[in-house]
Amino acid sequence: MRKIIYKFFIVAALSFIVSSCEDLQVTNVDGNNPDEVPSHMLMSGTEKKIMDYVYDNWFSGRQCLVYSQYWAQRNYTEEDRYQIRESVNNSYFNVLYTLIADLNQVIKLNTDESTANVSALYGANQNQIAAARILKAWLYSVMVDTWGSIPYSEAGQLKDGLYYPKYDDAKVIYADLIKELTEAAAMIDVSQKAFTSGDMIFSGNSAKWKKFANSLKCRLALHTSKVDTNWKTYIAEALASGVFESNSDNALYHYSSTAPEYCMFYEGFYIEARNDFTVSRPFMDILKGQADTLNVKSHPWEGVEDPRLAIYTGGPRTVKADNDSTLVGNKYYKNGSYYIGVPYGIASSNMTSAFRNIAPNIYAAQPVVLKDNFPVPLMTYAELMFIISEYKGFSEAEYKAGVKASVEYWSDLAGESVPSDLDDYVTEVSKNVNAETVALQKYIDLYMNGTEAWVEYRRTGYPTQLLKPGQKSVIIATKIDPVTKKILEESALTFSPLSEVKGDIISRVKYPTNESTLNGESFNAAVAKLTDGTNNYYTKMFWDARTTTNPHPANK
Amino acid sequence: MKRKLMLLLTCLFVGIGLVTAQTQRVTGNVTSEEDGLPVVGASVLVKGTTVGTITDIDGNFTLSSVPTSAKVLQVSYIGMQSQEVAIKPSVKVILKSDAKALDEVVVTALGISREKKSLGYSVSEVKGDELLKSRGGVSNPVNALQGKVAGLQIAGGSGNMGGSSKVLIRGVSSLSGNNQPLFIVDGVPIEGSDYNSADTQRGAGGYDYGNLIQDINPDDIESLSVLKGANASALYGSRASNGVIMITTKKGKKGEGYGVTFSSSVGFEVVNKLPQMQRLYGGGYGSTFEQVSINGKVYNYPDYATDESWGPKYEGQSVLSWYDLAKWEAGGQVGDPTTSIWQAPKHDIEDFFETGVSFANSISVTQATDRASVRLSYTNTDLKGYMPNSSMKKNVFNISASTVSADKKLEVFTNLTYFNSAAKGRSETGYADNNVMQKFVQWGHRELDMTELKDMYIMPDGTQATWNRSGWDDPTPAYSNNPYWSRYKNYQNDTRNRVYGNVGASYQITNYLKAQYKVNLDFFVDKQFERNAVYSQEQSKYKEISRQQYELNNEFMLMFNKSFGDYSVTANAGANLMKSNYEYVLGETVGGLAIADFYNLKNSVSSPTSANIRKKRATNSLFGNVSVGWKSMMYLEGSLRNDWSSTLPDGNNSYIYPSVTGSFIFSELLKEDFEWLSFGKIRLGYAEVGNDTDPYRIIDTYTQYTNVDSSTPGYIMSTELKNTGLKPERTYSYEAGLEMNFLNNRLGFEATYYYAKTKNQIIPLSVSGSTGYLTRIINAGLIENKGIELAFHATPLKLADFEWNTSLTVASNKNKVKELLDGVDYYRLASAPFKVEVGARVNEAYGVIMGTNFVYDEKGNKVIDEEGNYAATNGNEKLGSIYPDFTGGWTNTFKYKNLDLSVLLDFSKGGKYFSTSYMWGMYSGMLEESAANNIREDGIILDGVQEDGSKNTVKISGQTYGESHYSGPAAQNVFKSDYIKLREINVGYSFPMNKSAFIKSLRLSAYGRNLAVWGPDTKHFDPESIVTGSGNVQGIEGAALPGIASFGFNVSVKF
Repeated sequence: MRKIIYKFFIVAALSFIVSSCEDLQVTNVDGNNPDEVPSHMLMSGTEKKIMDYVYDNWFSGRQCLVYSQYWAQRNYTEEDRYQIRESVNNSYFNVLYTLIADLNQVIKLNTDESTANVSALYGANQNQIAAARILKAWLYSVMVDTWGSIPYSEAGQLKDGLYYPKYDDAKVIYADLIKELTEAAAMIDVSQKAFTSGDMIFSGNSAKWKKFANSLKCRLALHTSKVDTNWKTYIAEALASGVFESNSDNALYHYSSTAPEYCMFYEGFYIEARNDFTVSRPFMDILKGQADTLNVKSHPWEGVEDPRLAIYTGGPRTVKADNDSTLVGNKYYKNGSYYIGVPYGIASSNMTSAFRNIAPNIYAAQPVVLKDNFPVPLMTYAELMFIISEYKGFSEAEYKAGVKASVEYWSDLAGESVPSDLDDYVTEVSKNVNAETVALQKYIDLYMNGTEAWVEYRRTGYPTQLLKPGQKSVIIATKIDPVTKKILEESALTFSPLSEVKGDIISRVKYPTNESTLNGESFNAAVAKLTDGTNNYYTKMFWDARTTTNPHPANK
Repeated sequence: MKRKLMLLLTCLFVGIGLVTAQTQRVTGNVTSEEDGLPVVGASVLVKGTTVGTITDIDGNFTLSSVPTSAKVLQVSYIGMQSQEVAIKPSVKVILKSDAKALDEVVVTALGISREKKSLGYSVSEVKGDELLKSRGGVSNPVNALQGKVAGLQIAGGSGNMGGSSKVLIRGVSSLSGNNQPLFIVDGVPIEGSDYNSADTQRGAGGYDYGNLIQDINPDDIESLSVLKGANASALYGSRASNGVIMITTKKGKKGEGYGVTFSSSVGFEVVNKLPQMQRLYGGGYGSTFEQVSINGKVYNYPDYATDESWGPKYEGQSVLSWYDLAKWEAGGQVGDPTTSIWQAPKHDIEDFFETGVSFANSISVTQATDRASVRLSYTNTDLKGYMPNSSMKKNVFNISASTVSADKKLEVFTNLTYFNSAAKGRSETGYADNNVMQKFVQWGHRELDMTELKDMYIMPDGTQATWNRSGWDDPTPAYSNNPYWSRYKNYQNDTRNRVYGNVGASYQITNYLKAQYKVNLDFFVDKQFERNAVYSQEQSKYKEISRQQYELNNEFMLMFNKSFGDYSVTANAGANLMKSNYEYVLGETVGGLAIADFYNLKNSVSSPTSANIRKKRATNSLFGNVSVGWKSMMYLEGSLRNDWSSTLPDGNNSYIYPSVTGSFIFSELLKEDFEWLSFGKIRLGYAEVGNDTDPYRIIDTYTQYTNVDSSTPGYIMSTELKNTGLKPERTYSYEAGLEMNFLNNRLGFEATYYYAKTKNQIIPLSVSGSTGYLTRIINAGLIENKGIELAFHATPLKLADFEWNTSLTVASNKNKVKELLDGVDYYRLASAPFKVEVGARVNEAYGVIMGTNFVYDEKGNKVIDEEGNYAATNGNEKLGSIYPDFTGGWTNTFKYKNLDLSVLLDFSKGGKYFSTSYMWGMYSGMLEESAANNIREDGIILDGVQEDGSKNTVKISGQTYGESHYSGPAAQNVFKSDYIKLREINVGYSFPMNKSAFIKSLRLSAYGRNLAVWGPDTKHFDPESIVTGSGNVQGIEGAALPGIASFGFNVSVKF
């Protein structure tokens, strides 16, 4: 009996153990994330994440949109004054590179024999490859124009054990981007779709991808117009291959109004509930056709109000002054409606509620750029027209076509009919077609495309209305007669950067500190090549040929 | 090292002698005086010979060949007084328990009780009572071990209700994996880690739900053993490579009859450590107020839209405060609003916190008979926290029972615990909108009065009233909720239901061989409910998270226990199958809540989102160990284990590892000549431990990112590059120890030296994004830990009625990252939300803070830039190490008759932390230093030199100085973590009771914990209280919760 019990006990225990044995390899299959996805799904996720990171309230909002002085911060003005957040800089540098890796993976899925056949089900292989190369060129150009020389030829090779990619010269990267765009345009078969679904830029239309490649090639060629003698050849090639022909070709990323797939500008304002930005005075004055009397700067079409003014700013701000007039800066404003931008680049402590209360409350007005499905602009037909105008020595026809296309595009976006007096406006602003007017109209069109507007300022020095460090941002009353309310004393608040920029608008963003620990040697080598050998904001881009004696090379 | 061990082994076997003489047969029986039960495994030795045996399951023994010349038998058993009896053919021995000796029995791996002196490795034991002395309601029971065990570091986020405690034995050995020791309750491995997100650990927000080890009920703990080295824990496999905390629960004991124990305690928590804030200037910017005119009257309106405190000085000005406006608006804007005086608040942030009160009641009933024993217990704890609207309740039921067959061969046993907890209103941690500390210290106005905030946090129409108004005529919150709104409207709650325990059976095959089969289970369901009310600053939201996890261990063991003459042999062989399964389900509203104050996922403005994660793992193991003892003087033990892990790739998933230890009680040889030497032992050990990794680190995957095209979900690649060639990790460790007691154990010490190195560590290496990934899973690194642990104890005074005991523990661990990967010299653990990161650098200690530093000239002066601010380095430099150089505790206990008193101090020296609160608190003009020394009135000239070497003379404003803590070098916000803490004071009185009376014992006691802290940088924070996770990411403070002192009273009655 005892033996039986004991045998039974052992046998039962052992059989229980054996039956519990698992296939260990099966246990370790990740059921949370797939190890294979169709190429169009990868492209769809990648496109969205790129747009989420480039067009948001950080990379755009607190960097290029304030650098190009479209926006200013309402409370905390540190980034307007070139004090960036390390953690943001670290994270965006990293994330944008992982998105480059995703685009490379789209190419790989369409190239590798094992996956190309499956990928072809979702769009012609060569078209998918081309689209990924084009978007990659666009993203790299944004990155180069932000930081300057960055890792390129050695980037994205971790699988091969490359932990420390070297930084390539920005000029070399540019040359390769032009080549990429040329090859990508050439390989597209316009008779086949690029993607069956998931492409929120061109809905898989390969012909539009091709036009975008060529248009983007024109943009990059123009950037290098002062440093690369081939720039006109590149544009000629692109025009021959086919560029944007109307607003319907615009390269826009289409967000959805279904939560949570909305545009990041909307997310930042309404989901995170942060009313941090509004229109800055320099941009507002440009739109109003108002010369900058504080800094004695003229306006090429003074007194002509821009038809896009209300679309961009959400309309005028109604001032409610309890005692019939309210003091903003050094002026009393009576009850009424005003277009007044907030002073740009002054200390947070000087940004009083009086300035905020008269500037557009875009949070409340919600102009189209803050709508949940605002299509963010990678490049527009209007911009291309201005490029071609400059290419043709500031030709009037393309300039006018650009102005018209821009107003039509923005009106359409805002759901408004095209202003009936559009032709009058075009005539008004076309009295002189030159470097300045072309640059200024391009600047107005590039609203919300801060990355490109900032490039254009650095390349051309236009618009001259943008404030430079030390220039007057606003005049405030410093002493008031308590009885008569008469202003007895006033003084100017100036645009006062918190970082050294050598008297100009910021020339680049510092390399992230992240790189000093994770890619130290390459970082140090890259920093050594910057002006003064420090990781600074004033080293000029290779295509920035402005000098103190020749501040506006676009004139030449 | 291995050679030396072999030598020792050889020594052990020398001296085996054979005895041949005339013999007789002796049989006998050994029972225990205390409960009358047979003593199993008692050693019976013929005095002066090597002839001996051990008793069987019934306490019987037979010696068939006792020399007739022999006269005396020596009978001994651990925990009992040895006896010598005259030899007769049939002997009956009753052993008395030995209180002194009992202290020396410890529970070791696999739950086997061993004489401490026989062990070749370091074990510290703490009695369950110690954990109860200052339980303080619902605090993490593990915190009661602080300062009591050499080499055990416990950092408890003392301010957080039910928050995490970081537990470390002998420092950090794994770069990224788990460094927390394995907790085992009666053989059941217990999930002890936390689910805090990476953000919570780095001080970037989220709730600290605490590590799950706090589910253990201290009332049920009989004893707790800390097995420190790899030797001690080799039998538990890889998870035990950081040491094991073995918990043995209370069992039914024979002889106590129907024993009933009742204990009750009441505890109080008060805030005793808050950052020091300035009380000279109010919120806003500049020295003037905005003029606002209402009904023709003009008022001074403070700049409430700004959440900083660089505003006007308190000079008794009349202002239109947010409170005046809120009252006026609540009354329908009738008449003129009231005005207030601009002054430092009468009720400042300390008045926000309440006195926490906790009650703990525990009852247990035990009964034991010849063939069965049972213990039932129930413990209930109820806490109202010091944060407004916070509470936590716990219920724990435990049953422990066993029964044996009539022949006493088959035993069936179980021990099950059901745990249930419900918490409400845990504080958000770190840089988070509803962490009130972030609003009190980092961003806000300093003139705010807590009674006003409390009075008007909600308007009659249900909307929020906050001080942080967007404008005088716009009450929308700009950045900050009213802190009372955060506490009463945006609260979370959570519940956990957990069952752990085992069911098993053992069969005594022969009197020296036993088979045992056991199933160990740990299962819990944890639910979290997080709310953001409508009318909050942020979009309203409701979120539910459900986590379910089980771990099942099937364990089969054969146990052998037999004496061969002077040799005693204990051996075990077994197999274990571990399976664990984790499921996470999340539901969250999107686009806000449609109906206010209705918390259901369906109340989502847009379709709610959901997510789920499942993680599975399994490990199959075979293991065995052999321990040989000789004359209770020398012991040698070896073990071997083979694991097959699911988390490693096929071909690399099997790993085998050995351990060997030896000990020599040299006092046995010397005791006759050196009477002052009560005890002396040396021990040596070597162990290897293999380790696997987390699931799913082999194959590259994609992550779902978007549904922007509803027909085509969008994916991106994982930013982590996986590794198909992973190999198991391996730790090699050596340990040597010396223990000596003198003068009848009045004085003694224990010293341990250890060295451990870990190879092939599996880590997610942070890489530059330009590689295309953010992390890569690699086998890397050689990390080295070496250290010493010292424990001294003494009884300086021992009189008839009075006794003074003192003990001191000190431990120092030095840790070095020797290698990472060819050409890779830095490993990042985490980055703080704004500045600095914590990482590991080759040839330096693990856990260094990396950030921008001051620039120093050749003479060591700080360089000041042209504007008068500190210059900062281009990139990140090492700013300090996060772990201490040494830690320890000093306990003094005094006994006078029935009155006892104990005082525990503990200390930590070395280590730094980065304070995000200090950075923002200075930036926003909130902390005391931002208004001290007249810097706002006079400005400040920083001590340093200009780039040309001349002394700095550039004056900057107080505000520029404050703001430079963010814009300037990160090093300005790095502090020392050194502290000395008055950890615990206990005083108790045990009433003398008659054993036969209804009440058998009665004890009253009082305690105080965390009563004071001293240190160079403890002005604003308790360096210990910055912890918001039990993981490796430490050293980053982010709006840490205040320090808490607790005190209370206990009553314990036995019937």
